Amino acid sequence: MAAAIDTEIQPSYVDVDRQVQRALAPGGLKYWLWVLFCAFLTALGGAFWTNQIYNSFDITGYGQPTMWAVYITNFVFWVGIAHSGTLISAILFLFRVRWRTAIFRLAETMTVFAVATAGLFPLIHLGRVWFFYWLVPYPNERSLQPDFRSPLVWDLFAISTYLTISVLFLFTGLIPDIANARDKAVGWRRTFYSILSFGWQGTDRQWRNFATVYLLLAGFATPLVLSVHSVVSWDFAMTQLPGWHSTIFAPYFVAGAIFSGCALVLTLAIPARRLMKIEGLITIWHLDNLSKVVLLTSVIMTYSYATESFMVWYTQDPIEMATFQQRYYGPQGYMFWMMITCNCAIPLLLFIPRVRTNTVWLFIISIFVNIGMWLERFVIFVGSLSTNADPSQWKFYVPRLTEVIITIGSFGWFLMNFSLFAKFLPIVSMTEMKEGISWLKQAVREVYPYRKAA
Amino acid sequence: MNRILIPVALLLFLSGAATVGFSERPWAPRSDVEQPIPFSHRVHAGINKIPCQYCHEYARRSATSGVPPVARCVGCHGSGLLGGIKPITQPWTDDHQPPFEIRWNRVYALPDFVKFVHKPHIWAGVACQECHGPVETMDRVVPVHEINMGFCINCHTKRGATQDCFVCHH
Amino acid sequence: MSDGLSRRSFLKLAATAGAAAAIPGCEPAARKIIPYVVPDENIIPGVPSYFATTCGECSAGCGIIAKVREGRVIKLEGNPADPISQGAICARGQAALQGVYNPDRLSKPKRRKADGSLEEIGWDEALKLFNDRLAAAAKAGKDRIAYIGAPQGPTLDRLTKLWAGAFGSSRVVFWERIGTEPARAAADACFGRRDLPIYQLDRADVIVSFGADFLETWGSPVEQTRQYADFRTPRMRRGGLSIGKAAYVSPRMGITGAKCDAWVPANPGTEGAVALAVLNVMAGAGSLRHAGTAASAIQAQLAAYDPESVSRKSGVPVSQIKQMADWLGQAESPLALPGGDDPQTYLAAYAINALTGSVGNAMVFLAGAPAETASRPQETSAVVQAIGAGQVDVVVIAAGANPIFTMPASWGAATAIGRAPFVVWFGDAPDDSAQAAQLLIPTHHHLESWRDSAPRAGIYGLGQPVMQPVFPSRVLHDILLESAHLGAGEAAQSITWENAQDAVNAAWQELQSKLGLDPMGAEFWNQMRRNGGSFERAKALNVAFNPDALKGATPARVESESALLLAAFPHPFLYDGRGANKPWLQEIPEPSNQIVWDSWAEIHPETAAQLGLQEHYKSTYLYAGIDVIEIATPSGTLELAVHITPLVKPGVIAAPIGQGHTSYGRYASGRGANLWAFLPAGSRAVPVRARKIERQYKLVTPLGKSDMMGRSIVEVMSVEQLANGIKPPIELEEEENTPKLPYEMYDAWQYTGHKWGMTIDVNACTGCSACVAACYAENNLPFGGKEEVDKGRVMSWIRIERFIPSADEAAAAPNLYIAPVLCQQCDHAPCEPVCPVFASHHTPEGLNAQIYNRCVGTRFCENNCPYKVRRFNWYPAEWPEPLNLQLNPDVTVRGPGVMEKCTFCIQRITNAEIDARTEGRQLVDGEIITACAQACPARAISFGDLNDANSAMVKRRIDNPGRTYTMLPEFNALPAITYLRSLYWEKGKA
Repeated sequence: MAAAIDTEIQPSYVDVDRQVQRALAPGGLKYWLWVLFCAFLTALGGAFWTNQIYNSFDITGYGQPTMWAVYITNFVFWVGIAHSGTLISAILFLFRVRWRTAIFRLAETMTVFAVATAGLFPLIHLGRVWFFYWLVPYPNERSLQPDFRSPLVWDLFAISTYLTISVLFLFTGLIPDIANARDKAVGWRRTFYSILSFGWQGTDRQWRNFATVYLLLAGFATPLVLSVHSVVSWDFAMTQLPGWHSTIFAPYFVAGAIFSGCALVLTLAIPARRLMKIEGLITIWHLDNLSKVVLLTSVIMTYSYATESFMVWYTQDPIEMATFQQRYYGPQGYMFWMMITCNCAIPLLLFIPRVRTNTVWLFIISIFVNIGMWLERFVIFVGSLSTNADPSQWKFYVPRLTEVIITIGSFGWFLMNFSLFAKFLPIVSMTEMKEGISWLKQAVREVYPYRKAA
Repeated sequence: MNRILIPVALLLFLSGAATVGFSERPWAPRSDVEQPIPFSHRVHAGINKIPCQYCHEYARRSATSGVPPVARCVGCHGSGLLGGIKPITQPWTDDHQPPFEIRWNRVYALPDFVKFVHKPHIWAGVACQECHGPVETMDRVVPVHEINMGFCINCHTKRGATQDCFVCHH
Repeated sequence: MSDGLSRRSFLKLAATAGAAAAIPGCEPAARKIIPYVVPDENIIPGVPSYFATTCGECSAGCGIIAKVREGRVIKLEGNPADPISQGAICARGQAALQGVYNPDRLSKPKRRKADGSLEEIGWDEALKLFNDRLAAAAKAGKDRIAYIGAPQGPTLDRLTKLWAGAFGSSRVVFWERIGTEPARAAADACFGRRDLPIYQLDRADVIVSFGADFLETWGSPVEQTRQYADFRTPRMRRGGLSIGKAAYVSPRMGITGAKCDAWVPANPGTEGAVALAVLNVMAGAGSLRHAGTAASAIQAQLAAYDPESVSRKSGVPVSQIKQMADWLGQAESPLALPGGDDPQTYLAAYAINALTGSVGNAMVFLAGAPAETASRPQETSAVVQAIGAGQVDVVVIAAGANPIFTMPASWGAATAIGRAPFVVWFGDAPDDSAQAAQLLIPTHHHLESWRDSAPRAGIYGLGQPVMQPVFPSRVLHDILLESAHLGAGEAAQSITWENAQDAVNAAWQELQSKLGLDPMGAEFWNQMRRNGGSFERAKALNVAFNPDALKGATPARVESESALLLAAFPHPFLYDGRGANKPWLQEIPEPSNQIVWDSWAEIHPETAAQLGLQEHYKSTYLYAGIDVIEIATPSGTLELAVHITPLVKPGVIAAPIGQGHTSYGRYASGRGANLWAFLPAGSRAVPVRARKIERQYKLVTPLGKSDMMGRSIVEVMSVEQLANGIKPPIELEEEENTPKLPYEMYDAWQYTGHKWGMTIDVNACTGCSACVAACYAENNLPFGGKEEVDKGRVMSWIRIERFIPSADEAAAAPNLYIAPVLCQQCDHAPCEPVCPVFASHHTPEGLNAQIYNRCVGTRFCENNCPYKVRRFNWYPAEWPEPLNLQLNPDVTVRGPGVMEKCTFCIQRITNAEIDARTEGRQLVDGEIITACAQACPARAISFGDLNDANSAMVKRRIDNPGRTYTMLPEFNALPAITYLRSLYWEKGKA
């Protein structure tokens, strides 16, 4: 371990290049087995989706009155995940936050693939997916257009915009690094990289343009962090359904998104840095800072839950109150309490520095947060639908195999993409690492003492 | 770069074109429909000036215009023994036993979710030809217009008829 | 219709159109057009023709009108000319369609082989076999042939008798398990005539029903529902605004008890005793105005029925007995309704009516009452015994009588018929009795054949075939006639008619001369066919009550000392079991329990606790896994899943009759238990022992919660509040909680033309579900079966909401909250703005349209609908051949993945508007009636144009200012449906 620590303390430009290059080396058997496994999960999910399209929703657990259930929960979950990436890469970039350099690439990759995953779920959820394009405005002989009053249409635009910007942002940032990789690569990889590097030579002019474009895109991306998830939250807040009809939703959802996103960054970064031997680049210092963000957002969530409940109590609206009474103590109340435990109680451990600097602890906590945030969406969406305004129509939803498999499949799909990216493209930005290498040395020195004690 | 991009773009375009070109549009009127007997609208409606609704008698009373019963044909053509106008379908009638059930093939078909009703259109003074084309000039009926929603909407807009989806789709 | 297109071309037509209708979404319709060879002037393709006929689903024999499109009947509606139905029709009547198109109907004659399996045989062979057997039996001696069938109307039954007579047999019985024998016997004793009295509920001001579920199955529910609605309509009585007062003595509440002020739980079988006790009290109180001197004598006769002892026996508190006596005594025209199989109930009720002067007013005997249709039980049992004793060679089971299913166990019908050498079964869908037959012969459904009915004096219903037969079946009575002419020789000379049609025609010619009906000749016949019969007003008779009749009062049959009593009741839809093969009737929830596709045992929570029964909840509010009990009756044990409900008397197990068929098609067989098999003759109650067994079962209901949670769904107010113009608490609450409506953020909708709306009188609605059945029939609603309902995928666009008032509400509420809920067609429709593709949008006439072919299935609209009235097609709808022939061609069949909803029957609106426009006139009020409004026996639903201030629908709102409310007003959705509150008596609880 000592060597590793040394490299942590004393990373040089060469170290950076060497470590990232090492990560790009051809994957071993274990790696490909893992990718294959993810691919299998993806295929399985795909098969079940096909089956669902063919046999209609008959095979799912859906029914009155829970029109939206697991699929929309997954959708919001993945969109939420995406946001932290943009936060770290764009907002923290504009604020010149130092600890972002090592992890922003990873976070951004996560963003792109999370959005790509999220985008699938509205389709999977559609009753007649083969007509999904009717939500898109296009000239047609019927002279029919989508209804722009519908939050779902806003959603469509929000998500597609978000995907476009994120992809551009990610790719732009990649160019210099790819060029770097190209120069050392041989064989087909060389062609591969040279295509992607758009003939980057690292000339002064290129650097200047690069900086401008990157700054611009960061500027574009920043408002999206807030807008996209607000729009998503309006899918619910705009309705009259007790439990959804609430003005707090937008900020509340955004906070939740950052929360779950940063948690997932942790979940990904901790194994990644170990497996790819880049502890030297993604150091405890970074994880420490990241976990502080998680801690902050967790507290914000706790506050939101409190506010939400308080408002319901304050309005004294019997229907709202009944819905929330069911949310807490109803047949599926246990989910709510699990969610509170995962989102409000467990993250409080992060107040302890030792926990923040212990990768194992961080990893476990981040997993809990992810579970909690998924449950939160389920509780809000499905729970509210189950206990609607007409008691005679109350019914509680229980997922069946199809939903479960497709959900698992979505994780497979996400991890597969992520793993492939991590192996073939630099998952840590060499450029920015080198820029910020001095900060890193100093930072590691700051964190090191109490980490050693741990 | 272009070595890759151009082929890719080309491929995309071609596949798109193929999908549009070869996809079956089940509700498009058929121009390839052959009828069991060589019935000629040109002879009946054109030369002999038989009004459309003499045979398609339900058009002004019902949703469907109706296909004439064989009895209507016999009205003019009579039966073999009683003489009457000798139809060119004689060979056909010879090797069929009465009652002659003519199983016509559809040229115009609408999906179940389109509730088109002839009646109000006739009463609104829409000529048959406006949708079915100059049938009186055709030996074998072939569609002139592709009867789709755009076609309906255009005419409704021109004539200031209702634009409410619910009237036709319910 | 009788002479129309040939069957072949009909079937082809049907096939074409059927294919077109049954294919959802985007596949080409049938590509063939097959014109008629010879056109039928009755038929314009695409335009419905209507045929008046009579309903054969139960003995009430209502007049109905069949809507026929392209030669297939697609909808049944009440015949306005018929004084009984007056244009309304019940759920069972609607479902006759699924009887005629039932996929399990017998299509060819079948013979049972040695190994018990069935083989198809040709018609000639089958008829030859039948005729030979008859001839042989006739040779063997007299009475060697037995006929067991359901009543088919006077003419056909006469025909049957003649047929049997020709073969020297008098063993002909017309079997109805739910018969009128006790009523007739009591009438004989009291008034010296075996007629059925006619009740006019609307003439009474107090009704006490002793075991007569007059809103469910007893008598003629359609008529009684209408009269009861009238009875409950607030109007000036004795100088004050009031409604009729009603009490219902019965072990279970049901919807009859729910609509009465007082449900008086009594042990089954003791209703008669209670009635006599009430009579006793009345005699003592001197409120038997017309008894005169006899009052004391009567009281003496009823000494055994003092309230105390009766109360001990029946479990009815003395106070309640006295209260009922008081109500009846105070009333101007009281009415006691007797029900069940216990003759003394009828004695007591008749006595009460007679001695309070209600006979001749609310209860009348009419001159020229029709002959009894059903045979008396003793005759029937005699025939069954004869069969068992081997005195019969040929047993004919016909016309839907299902003796093996319905006859009491004590008669041993199954074994007797099993022992018979040769059993022939005639009918449409092979039932339990067909299993015992050696020869099965398919016959026409009643919608396919000629018949007549005489439900009551002055009313002669004519039943004509409304369509060509669906299956290659034949008319039962034609076969019988043919066999007689062939086999019976000169004995059959007396039978002059060729076939059943002739017979009916001849009978009507007689009738014409008898009644002196003009016009004469063929015109008469056509007129009868147009009207669906002849409806005369028969005059009431003056009958004298014979007080000695009460001497015949025997003690109640069931002694309640034993711990538990099983009270079987006819299922409101399945009736005695004949409805069980019709999916609509299985899928529509039983109104008071909301359970579907099953039979169950209603048990009061207290009793359940004693037996250690409980509901096992999974993470759902459905009855997920309920204890099953084993019920030991004198004639065997049965197992039933428990339904724990306060709507039944403690110590009583109430179970519905009608399920438990061993063979009655795919929808009926192997479902629940057949209660008939465990009931003694002439009773529907039996003392039992019950124990919990280690099995759980899942009863399925679309109902979520039975507690309305004080929400404004079914609003109620007391008669006193209405009379004194006091606003009910819920209204005051709304006024302070909700902003001044309508709160508009944008410009309100402007309706230049029509604006469709509805007024629904919750006070009139009895939850009979006729509207639900009508909607299923009119709008091609698919049925999913028990499993789909369990997943919450019931497709009904209109549903009956049923809530049980909580303990604290009970004091100020009717016994149950019942109301129909359908799309409210809101002005601020929450469903509209959320649809991304305009599939859900607002029409110029104020409807919330749902364009099925535009819907992509985001399901956002249903999420946002406060009333939860939209339905999503989770599964591909299926109508097994030939059920699909019933589909309405004017309504799209929705494919899986699209949302659907109530459209106020847009197809009817559009067609009417087209007619009006092409005829160059305005629509007139009442020209358009939605299916639900049309069917409603209580006339609770009225539909009309809100822009037309004179429309009956608008008037109804104006005339009832105190009672109007809109559902869930806090959502500010501005529904086009306005409800009228349900009424109850503050001091109504007896």
